[in-house]
Parts: sequence; structure tokens; C-alpha cells
Amino acid sequence: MIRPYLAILNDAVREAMASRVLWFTSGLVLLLLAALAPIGYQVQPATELAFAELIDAPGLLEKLQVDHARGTPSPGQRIWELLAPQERQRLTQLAKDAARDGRAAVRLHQALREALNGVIHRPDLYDPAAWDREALPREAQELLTRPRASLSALELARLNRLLLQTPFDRHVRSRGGQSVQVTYGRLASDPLPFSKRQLDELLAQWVLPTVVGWIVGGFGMVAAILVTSGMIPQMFDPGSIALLLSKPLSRSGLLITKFLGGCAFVLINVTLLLGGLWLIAGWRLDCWNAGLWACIPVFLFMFLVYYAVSALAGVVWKSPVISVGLTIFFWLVCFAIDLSHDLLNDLAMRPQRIRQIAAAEDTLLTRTESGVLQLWDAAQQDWQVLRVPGRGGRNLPLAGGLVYHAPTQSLLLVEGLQTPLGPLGRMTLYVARAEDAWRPKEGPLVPSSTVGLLLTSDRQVLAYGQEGLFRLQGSPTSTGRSLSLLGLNVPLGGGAEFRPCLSEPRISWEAPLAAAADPREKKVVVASGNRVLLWVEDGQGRFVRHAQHTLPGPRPKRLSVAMAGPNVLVAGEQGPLWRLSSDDLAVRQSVPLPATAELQQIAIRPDGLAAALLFDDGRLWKLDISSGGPMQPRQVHAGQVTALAWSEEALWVADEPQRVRACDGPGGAVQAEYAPPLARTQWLFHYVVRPLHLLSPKPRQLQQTVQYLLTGNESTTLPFPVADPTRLTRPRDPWAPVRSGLVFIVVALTAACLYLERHEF
Amino acid sequence: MGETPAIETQDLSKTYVLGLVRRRAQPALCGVTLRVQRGEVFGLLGSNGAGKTTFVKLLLGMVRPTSGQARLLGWPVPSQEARRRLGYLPENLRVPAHLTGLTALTFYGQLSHLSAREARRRAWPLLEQLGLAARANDSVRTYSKGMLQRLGLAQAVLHEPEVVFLDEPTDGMDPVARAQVRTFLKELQRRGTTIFLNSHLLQEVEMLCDRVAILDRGRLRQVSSLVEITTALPRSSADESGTRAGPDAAQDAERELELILQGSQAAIEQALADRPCEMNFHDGVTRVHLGVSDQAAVDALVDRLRQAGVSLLCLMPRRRSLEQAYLQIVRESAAP
Repeated sequence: MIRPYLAILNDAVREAMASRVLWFTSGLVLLLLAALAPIGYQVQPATELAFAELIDAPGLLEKLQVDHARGTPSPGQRIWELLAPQERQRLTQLAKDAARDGRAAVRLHQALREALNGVIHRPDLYDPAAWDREALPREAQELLTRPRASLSALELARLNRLLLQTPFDRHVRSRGGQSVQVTYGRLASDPLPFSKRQLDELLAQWVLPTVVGWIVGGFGMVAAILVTSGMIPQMFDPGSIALLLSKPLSRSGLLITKFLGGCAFVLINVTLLLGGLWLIAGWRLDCWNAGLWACIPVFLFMFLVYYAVSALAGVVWKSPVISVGLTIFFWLVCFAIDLSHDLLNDLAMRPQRIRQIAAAEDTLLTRTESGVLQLWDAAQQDWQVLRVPGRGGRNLPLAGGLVYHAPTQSLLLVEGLQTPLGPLGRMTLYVARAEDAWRPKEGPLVPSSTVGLLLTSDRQVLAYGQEGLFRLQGSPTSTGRSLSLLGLNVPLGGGAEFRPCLSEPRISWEAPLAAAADPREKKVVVASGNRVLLWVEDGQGRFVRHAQHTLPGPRPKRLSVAMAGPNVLVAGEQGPLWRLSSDDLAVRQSVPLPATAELQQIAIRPDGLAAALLFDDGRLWKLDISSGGPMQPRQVHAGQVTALAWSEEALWVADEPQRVRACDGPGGAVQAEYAPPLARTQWLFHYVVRPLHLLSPKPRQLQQTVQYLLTGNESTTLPFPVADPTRLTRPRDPWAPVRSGLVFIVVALTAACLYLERHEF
Repeated sequence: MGETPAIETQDLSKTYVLGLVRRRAQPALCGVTLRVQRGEVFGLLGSNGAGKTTFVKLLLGMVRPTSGQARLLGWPVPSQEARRRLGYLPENLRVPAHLTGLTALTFYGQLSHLSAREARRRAWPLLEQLGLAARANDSVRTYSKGMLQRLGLAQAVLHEPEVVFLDEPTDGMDPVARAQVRTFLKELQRRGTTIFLNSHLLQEVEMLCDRVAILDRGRLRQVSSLVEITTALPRSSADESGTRAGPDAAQDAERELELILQGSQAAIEQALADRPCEMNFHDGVTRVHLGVSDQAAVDALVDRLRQAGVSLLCLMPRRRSLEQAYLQIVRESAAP
């Protein structure tokens, strides 16, 4: 029964093997693999500073200058001394310019890094008098016990690196003791700020999918379509189709088998390429990723989507030229729809999505994805964008943190230039006051790498980040005075500033990091890595560690935490959701979270008896914790929710495109709705582009499936602990393009079969 | 005798509908009723556009009839059961260029439900018979037209079908190759395979076929044995296998005879005065061509000649070529 169809498949393989084009493309693949084969890596101790390891260049420079000005031996004094006068002069000038110009801030960062990297290689950096008050790590102590002359250049640089980063740990980030260099034959790159594990993740998440996507998904697809476009039309040559139709075969079976047989060419080339990459990545980079093999059927599938169009055109018009032309046209249409969707989504829709809500008395303020602060204008029934005076109307960059400070009737938000690897330059607290029509004004500096702001029960403003917890001393609306002296900005006091408020010095919280303050008691809960820490104020303005709990399982990439009343809710992005006691962090309960979405935010009612969970696919769950019994999550929104906040009055829910609703109590009845009219781009996106995108196959998005197979992750993240991972996490459904592509292939083939069955030859 | 015919059609008609907007009907076949017995070599003749190809396509299921019925080996058309038992050599056969002679036969054999091993086992003797064994492992791209035709013939019979449809089987072949093919086909016939031959080469049809049918403008004009069609005097259309249409068909059928006589010219003329004939006197021998309706008429004629003292040196049916018969039939069917 199936013998004839197997013969057709076998013949297709034979035809592919006999094709000169196949040998040509295979030769190209082998050449590419040969070019990639010399790539390798080497691991060595971390010495020079990488770009992202210098956290606060202006702050470090100022510290060096101040230390030098004091005159007493200190690491800062020693380092400044070793810099050439021209270097010092240049750095001072750049620091002055950086206060006004962001580009100068980048140049300052680069110049200081270069200067420090020069110092790292100096054999005369260490001065016992300068470092005698520093608690050097064991590695540095061991190196210091050896005669200096016996140290290799690498060991000396390593020692100097440790001497540099120990006293300036607030300005220089340590990424562990090793750095990786990528090599190509005898050439080697600069040390990269990655560990080997991070390099593997980079390879799996970005490099391999990009390389494979461009080569196979791009050039390969074009070549495959050109080569196979004639296979179906050739079948309809009069001297060929008559013979085939005289055989005891079904017409549909003949077509489908021929269709599948056309994959032979692609299968051979893709297997060769991905197998070669697997071998090279494993042998040369110690990154054996079996997911590469699983990508073979994905690319084959991508080809089938285009080939289905080619086959349908071939059946109807029986012309290779028309087949190729229509397939290219189809690719262009899919590309255009997909690109329009992504562009509109990323450039128009996404930046407008509301990410934070602050309900302030009778005013509603929101912050969008792009950092724009908006005020609801009841008269216009629309959002009014608030701009920062004197900054040319430039919107505030996203930096985390948005709270309403009732005593001063002001909105507090943090501004700073964030890069995917961390903050660049200083971060500032901006204060927007009702009496100033909510126009943000610059306030005190915020500690570097601040992740968010908290408001305690007594309306104290706290900033938390990897360097710990800081309290704002003074009113957020008061500004200090400073004196510019010899190029230095000398603060004269009088303004508010953030000061450490933990009982333990030199705290370093690892990413991921999240924190919450109890709205009614002086408690703060911090979730860092796998740990949950409860801090309670001791009455003297310091927070003392009161309890600690370690979350079981692997360290999450993202954490969400909320605290109110008797409950602390904490979860990683994959769950489960833990309910802990707010007295001693004892575990009360856990609830599994959906496997197909990642938790983005937890909002808890101020009495702690109800909570809402927001997932990255826009789903909203509600939890009733009042009964004390098992938590029963209830989905109340199927998707498109973008932000939550729970105030004393209501649960505030923001959803697409820019609507905010105030929901009441456990029933969730809508008390008020704030929805502006749809702008033209929004209308176009929701009623034209998105439906088309939903219906059309999305071969380009099969890249997501490739990434999933290579990493096992259903979201795209960088492999570094970053200050605000939500910025870089893109949720995805890796199988969505497979589903839509499969439907398309079935529809196209069905149409072709129906046409063939009815057609007369 | 109780065996089902190899091919049987009943009022088979096909009208094509052409055009997308202004659709118009194009009749291709009109009410063809035909029966081909098993083991026959049957030829289908007709001018270009007569409907021969449409008829074959209807039998192979490549087009659907507008009306009428067709059966192959007892199975209604189209039927996969029937297609398993038939072989087909299309006109202008195209074999994929990546195949060799042997792999092509294996491939087509597998399409006919043979295993690869069985197909290869059967392929070699066929290739030898058809003079292709030495080129079996060469790409078909290097084959001449005649070689491709022979390869096509081989694939048509590889699976030992009961019915073989051959469309211009000797097209592009030299005389030696043609003779080879004819011998091959005769061997097929000897084994009991029914052969349905579609060819413009009337000499070929004359040498191979037992019976022929003549199609003209979609209608069946005549179906007769080769002997009948070449010896009979022309008459109007027939629509049944082996017989003629109309109540007077038996009376209308006449055969032409050639007589070689010796005797006095006057006696001969007198004996043959009652019927039109051609006479040619030469060297004391007279050649006469005349028509007779049946055997009784022949006997009566011989008696008259003998009574007249005329010696009968030779008496034989006068045969025309198939081409002459065909042209005559077609001309008559075109006449108002």
C-alpha cells in the first residue's frame, strides 16, 4: 500500500543527491564550518576592568581626588598619584563636562577605565601603608606573601585588580575571579566580563540562534526555495504526469509524497550545518548543546511553510518561475506583517504600555515602559505627558522606582542611564509635586545600582539596590548647596541625601533582587538570589536582620515580593508562590504558578489578606488569603494586563492599550475607568495588524522556537544578573509559530490536493 | 468466452468546458461504444483531434466522462484495482534526468507495487530484450529518443500487466528498433496480454493489430478486424464491435475479389455481364476485379465461368492497404 509512496520519497532523496546545487551548497557549508573551527576560548583570572565593571565613574573619580587631597596614605591617594598629570587633567575636565552632557559621561567612563587598567599592570601599585586598613581577600593576601619579582605578569595584574576593587567596591563591580577570552587560532580577544557558564548561555541564547537564523533561516531558505521550486511543476510535464496518473496511486498521496520528498535537499544541508556547529561548539568551546540537533526539524518546518506556497503555485500554474515568484511574494508579505507587528508593538505600543501606577489622592499618575510619566487629565479624558523642564522635552529614562510621598504630596521617581549590564553614571531622585503641576524636578543623588524605592509605614523613603538599603535623610523636596572648587563639586550640606540604614555594613545583595516595605509596620523584606531576609527597624533608624529564609530549588532569574499584614508573598518567575509569615518568615503555604507564563509582579492589599499576581503574558490572578486556608488562585483577566498597584482604596489594573481601572474588593467590580481614545496607530495595530499577524504564518518567529530548544527557556534574558531583569525579559510562546505554520501548511496542501483531484489532465 | 472484456465502453462521451468567463463547450468524444477482448491487439486510428487521446485518458481516469460508462477488466473506471493491472506508455515520455535506465525501471516498478528487488530482477531481461542492457547504468539524459521509447515500453510491461496502452510506441525509432519492438509486442500478445495501440503509423498497426477502430471527430466510424476492413468495400459508420450498424448491414457488406481467368474474351464478358467489374486482358490472361456479397454469389459466378468454358487460374480477395481503407472511411463519414 505505501510502497509506491516510499519509492517516491526515496527517489526525491536520490534526486537531491544527484543535484549539483546540493554539492555546491554543501561545499559552502563546509567552508563556513572550516572558518568557524579555529574559534575557541581560554579562561584566566580577572584582571582588567571590563566596561560594565566600572559602576560609578564620576563617584570613583571624586573619591580618588578627595583621597589625594587629604594627603594621608590611602588606596585612592596611591592610585591618583600613579596617574600621569595629563591623565588627571583630562579626567577632571571630563567630570565637569559629564555633569551636563551624557556623551561626556560615557567618555569619562571610558577614560577612567583605561587609566585604571593601566594602573593594574603597574608593579609599584601596592603600598602597605595605603592598604593597611583594608580587609583584603585571601587571594590577594596569598599573592602579597610572595616576592613581587616572582609574580608573573598575570598574577601581578590579578593582585592589583584585587587591590583596586576591595576599597572601591561601591564603584567597581566584581564578577568573580575569572574572565573568558575568545580566541581565533592564535588571536585572543580582550577579557570579557563573563564566566564560562555565562558564555555558554550567551552562545545558546544569542550567538547560535543568530548565526543559524541568518544562514539557515535566511540564505539557506532562499537557496532551498530556488532549488526545489521546479520539483512540483516538473511533475506536470505531459509526458510525466500521464505516466504517474496511470499508476495505482492517489493523486493527493502523490502530491504530498512529492512535497515531503522536496525536503531532502534542505534536510541534508541543515543537518550538515547544525551537526558541524554542534561539533565545533562542543569540541572548541566545551558547549555541547543537543538543542542544535532539535533545531533541524524546526528549520525543516520553516522550509515547509514556504514550500507549501511553492507547491500550491506549482500545482495551479505548473510553472517554476511563478512558483518562485509567488513564494518570494509570500515571504515578503509575511515579513511585512511580522515586521509591522513587531515595529508597531516595540516602537509604538510597547513604550506606551503602563508599567507603574501611583494613585495620589484624586490624581492618577502612571509611568510607561519608555519611562514617560503621565497624569490623567479628567477634562480631556486622556493622559497628559509630564516633561522635565530644561531637558529639551526628553523623557525620563527608565530606572525603577515610583512612589507617592503623601507628607510632601509628591511623586518620587529615580532617573539614571541604565544599560543592559547595569547603570551607567549617577542616579538621581526626581520629585514631582502637585503644586508644580507634577513636573519632575531634580532631587538628591540616589545610590548607584538602585533597583527601587520603598515607602515605610512612617513615610520614610528607602532606596534598595545591590549595595543595600538606604534611607533618605531629609525631605525629598529639599535640595542641598554645593561649591565648585578646583573642578570638584564640594557639597555644602543642607539637602536630603541617602544614607545606609542597615545594621550590617558592606552589604552586597546579589541579583535577582526585589524588596517590599510593610505599609503599616516598620518592616522591610528583601529577596536576593535564593534568600529572603526580613529587616525590622530597631527604633534608632536602623534596620536589623530579624529573620532569613532560603527558597528551595534553583536560583530564579527574577523575583517578585510583597508584604502586608501577616503575610509575605515571594516567588521566582517560574514559581511556586510562597506565603511566609511576616513575623519570622516561617513558611505557611506555597502555590504552583502556571508553567506557560512567568510571574512579573505581586500586589498585595494593605491589610495583607488579598493579593493579585501579574504574569508576563498579561494574565492576572487574584488570591484570597483572608480565610487562612489554602490559597486558591483565580484568573480574572485572560491577558493584556500590564501593571498593578493596590492602594487603600482599590486595586488598580492597567491594560492595553493605556487603560487603567480601579477595581473594588474581592469581587473586583470596576469602580472607575480611565481610558483614553485610541490613537491612529493603536487602532491600526489592534484592528488591522494584529489580526493579520494572528492569521498569517510566522516563519521569522521560528527563531523563538530555536532559542527555546537551545536554552530550554521560554523567555529571552541576558545571562547576567541585571538590575532590572524585567527590562530585558521578553515572554514568548515558542510553539506559537509552529502552530500557525502547521495550520498554514495544512490549508495550503489541502487546497493543492483538492485542486489536483478535480483537475483534468 | 464468459471472460469479461479487457476494455468495455458504453456511450462514452466527453465534452470539455473551456474559458473562465465565457464558457463554451468543446465536444471531444460522442457516444463511443466499444469492446476489446482479452488477448487482442487493438488499434485506435483517427486524425489529429479525433478524440483518441481523450478516449485513452478516460480509460486511465485522467479525465472524467461527461456521460456513459467504461470498464477495464471488469472494474469501473477509474479504479486503482484496474490501474494495478494496466501498463501505459505515454506519448513523449519524460523520465527524470537523475535516473539511469535501471533505476528508472526500478522506480516505476515500485510505483506499480513491485518490490525494489523484484523490479530489478525483472528489469534486466527486459532491458536485454529491448537492446538497452549495455546502457542500463547510464543516465537517461544520454539516451536517444528511440532508447527512451524502449525504456518506456519496458516500464509499461515490467509489472506484467493484463492490459497495455501504447501511445505511439515506435515514435523516433529506426527500422531495426521498430522491428525489435514489433517482435516484442507479438511476444506479449502470445502471452495473452491485451494491447491497445494508438498510432499514426498505419503500416505498424497493420502489422500488429487484430482489430482496429476508427475515430473521426469524436465518433466511432468503424470497428472491424484488419482483414475485414482491408477487404471490404467501403460502407457507412459502424458502432458495434465486429458488426455494422443498421438493418441492412449484412446486405451492404461486399467483398472485392480478384480473378485471373483464361479463355475467350467474349465468353468472359458474357459470363460477367450482370455485374460491374474491371477487366484487364493481357497475354491471353484476363484479370478481373469485382465485388460479391457472399459465398453463394462466388459459387454462382464460378459456375457461370465454367459453363462458359473459362478456366479459373486464381481467385482471391482483393485487399487494400489500411491507409486506403482508412482514408476511404474518413472521406465517407465527412460526406453529407
